[in-house]
Amino acid sequence: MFRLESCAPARLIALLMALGLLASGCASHEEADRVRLRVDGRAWEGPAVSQEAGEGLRVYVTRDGKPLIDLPFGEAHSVQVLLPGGGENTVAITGDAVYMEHADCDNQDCVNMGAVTRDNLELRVMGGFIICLPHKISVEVRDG
Amino acid sequence: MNSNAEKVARFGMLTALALVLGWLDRAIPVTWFLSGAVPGIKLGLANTVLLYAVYLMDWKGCVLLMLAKVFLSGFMFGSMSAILYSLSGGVLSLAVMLLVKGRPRLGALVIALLAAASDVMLLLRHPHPRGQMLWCMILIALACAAAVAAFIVIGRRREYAVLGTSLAGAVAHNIGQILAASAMLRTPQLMITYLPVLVGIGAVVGCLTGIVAQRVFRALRVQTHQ
Repeated sequence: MFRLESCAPARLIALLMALGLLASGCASHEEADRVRLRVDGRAWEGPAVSQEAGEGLRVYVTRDGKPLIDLPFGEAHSVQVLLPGGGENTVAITGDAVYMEHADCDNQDCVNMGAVTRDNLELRVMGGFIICLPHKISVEVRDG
Repeated sequence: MNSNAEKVARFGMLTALALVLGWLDRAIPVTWFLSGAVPGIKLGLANTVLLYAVYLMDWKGCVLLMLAKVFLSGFMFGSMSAILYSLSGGVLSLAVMLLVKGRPRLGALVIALLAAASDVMLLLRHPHPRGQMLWCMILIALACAAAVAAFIVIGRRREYAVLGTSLAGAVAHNIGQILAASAMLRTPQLMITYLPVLVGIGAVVGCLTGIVAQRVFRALRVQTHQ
């Protein structure tokens, strides 16, 4: 028979789960703030979804499922994503490759994922994706 | 498993082991060996503790251990989102391991079929694999072969039953994590891209940890089969 009072770990777990819920509550509260973008060093105020989509490959940067910006694959740009809670990712688009240039997250998986190019788009394990899980940012190269 | 003291001692020991192995998991950069091609891969040594727990404790104890491991190692090493991924993987892998425990052959067979299916799926999407994708497909084919071998070995020698449970648990953990990741990022395409690869790698890693677990059980003289 399972009795809560006879089981000390159960109390500890309950406490931990309460703490976890509290932390996630704080985290979701902070999400309300806007994500700021800097493109080529200047603050970006343009629309999140461009109207010129259609022809050729484009680079889509999204956070938490919401589109932030999309740019043509062929042009050289540097997109810096600044998160409201502190946290920064820099996506480099060089004209024939897209890669995560810098991220201040703890695991650096996105930086180590390498570049997406026209040639390896189909053959990368991750396809056209570059993902930063801690910051919930995904960069995808796909047809517009 | 008779006295309460033994239960508490065992729980504490396994929790400590899970936390230490969780640290070791982070210290061994498996992703680095794969040159960053397959992000987020760990050896899953901490999850082998759950595998031991499945045989050493009842299911309530397993659930408690899993929660303790997820929350404690999450607060020590990770962030809130890391806890969510880890929780999702832990819940699914524990559920599958408890289900498969009594029928390890079935577990191994299902994993073999899953690995074969994911290899075929990758081959359909990339008819002429090169580079990273080719290596991945070879790895998944190896995983499929390993799962089939586990199926045969478990049928012949019952003490290898742990292998089936380990395989199923590792693959379920990966599936749980990718489910959580694509839910958090709200990009279901990510799952379609990455799931076959994760199933294959889960089977490879599950086989390795299963062999380790089998040796441990033999040394501990734990009965893993009826």
